[in-house]
Amino acid sequence: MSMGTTNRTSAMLAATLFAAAISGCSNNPSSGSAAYKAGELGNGDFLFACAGKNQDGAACLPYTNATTKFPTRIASGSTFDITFVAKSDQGTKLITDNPRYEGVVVDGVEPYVRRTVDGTFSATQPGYAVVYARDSAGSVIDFTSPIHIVKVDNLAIYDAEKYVADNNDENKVPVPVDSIELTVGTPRSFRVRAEDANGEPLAGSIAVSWKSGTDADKLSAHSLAWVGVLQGFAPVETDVTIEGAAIKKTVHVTVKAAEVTQ
Amino acid sequence: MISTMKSLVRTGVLLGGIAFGLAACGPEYDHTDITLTQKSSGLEGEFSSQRIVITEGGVITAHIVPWNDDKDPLSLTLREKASSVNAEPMVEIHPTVKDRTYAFFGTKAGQTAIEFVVDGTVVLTVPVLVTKQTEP
Repeated sequence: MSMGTTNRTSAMLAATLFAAAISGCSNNPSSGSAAYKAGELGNGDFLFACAGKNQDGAACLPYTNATTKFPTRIASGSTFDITFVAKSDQGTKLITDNPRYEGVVVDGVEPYVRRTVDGTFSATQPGYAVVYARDSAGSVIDFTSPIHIVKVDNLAIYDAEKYVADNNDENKVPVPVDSIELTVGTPRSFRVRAEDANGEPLAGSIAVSWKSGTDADKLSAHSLAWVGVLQGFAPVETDVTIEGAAIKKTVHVTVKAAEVTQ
Repeated sequence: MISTMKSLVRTGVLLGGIAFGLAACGPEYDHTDITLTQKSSGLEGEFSSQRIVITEGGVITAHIVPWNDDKDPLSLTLREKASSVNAEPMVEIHPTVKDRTYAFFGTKAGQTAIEFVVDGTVVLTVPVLVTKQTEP
């Protein structure tokens, strides 16, 4: 065997191992999981994911953007992600036994859902939305049954740290808070989840702005990634405003003095 | 001499007529078969040669084959008949990975039409109604 042949063989072996490693790296739920929504044409499944990690208390597991169940209801005004999976394979090139799909893109049928510039989906108005996968030739590979986009009636606030503490129970929906208590000098972070008119949680990530009111010198409220961070500088009773998904609400905040240890 | 020329002209005219007749006897468009294959569950959808109904935001698919009079399938182009140059499309038409099956997306409520084009000729125009979703 020549040196060239040996090199070629080694390269082929390395490529094969690399391909095997890549294909084995999928973190997708196993086939048959409720996280998938079967395509209407029977060519594959659609997998829901949160638009970012750890920000969708209604649908996603803590510290991940993965979900165990494809949500039946998504908040209007929220963002989320959906990928197309064919025979456990996903990405722009789906190599199944037959056929083979190249340049796969997942997109939405307007006007109820729209692909955003950052590649996630935006639920643009209440109704029923369809998401579809197409190949580089523009041929539709498959599409979802209609996904219910629901009007948001309330943004429920919950303690981001409690959410962390609850991570042993992936089905537990975080408990919302009606008011917030802080101690001077100790910042706390909060998240929101969208709810419908019946108080039922809705999937999808809501971009929320947190703003302190006239007592900004005693209480700071600002948005950081997907959480609102509150920090008290002096004792005060005041309100902060949160806005997102066309909802604006105020939350009463009490800042107490830190206990002085003798 | 004159009579020979007249004879040649008559022969030429005759041959030309035969050639034209033969050309005109080639296979021609005959009809189009249309079968609704899928519609978004829970949303309105119809597809026939008389009428197409799609719900705004919904999808229907149809298997469509135009045939010639020799019973051979013909290639087909589908396009929305725009009511004006700047009219916003109401229907998106895509091929699917299944041969001769097309997907129709209702993207804006209203009335429009889809033209079926075979060999550069519109062989069928079907009115389309894109309906608004009822309040969920």
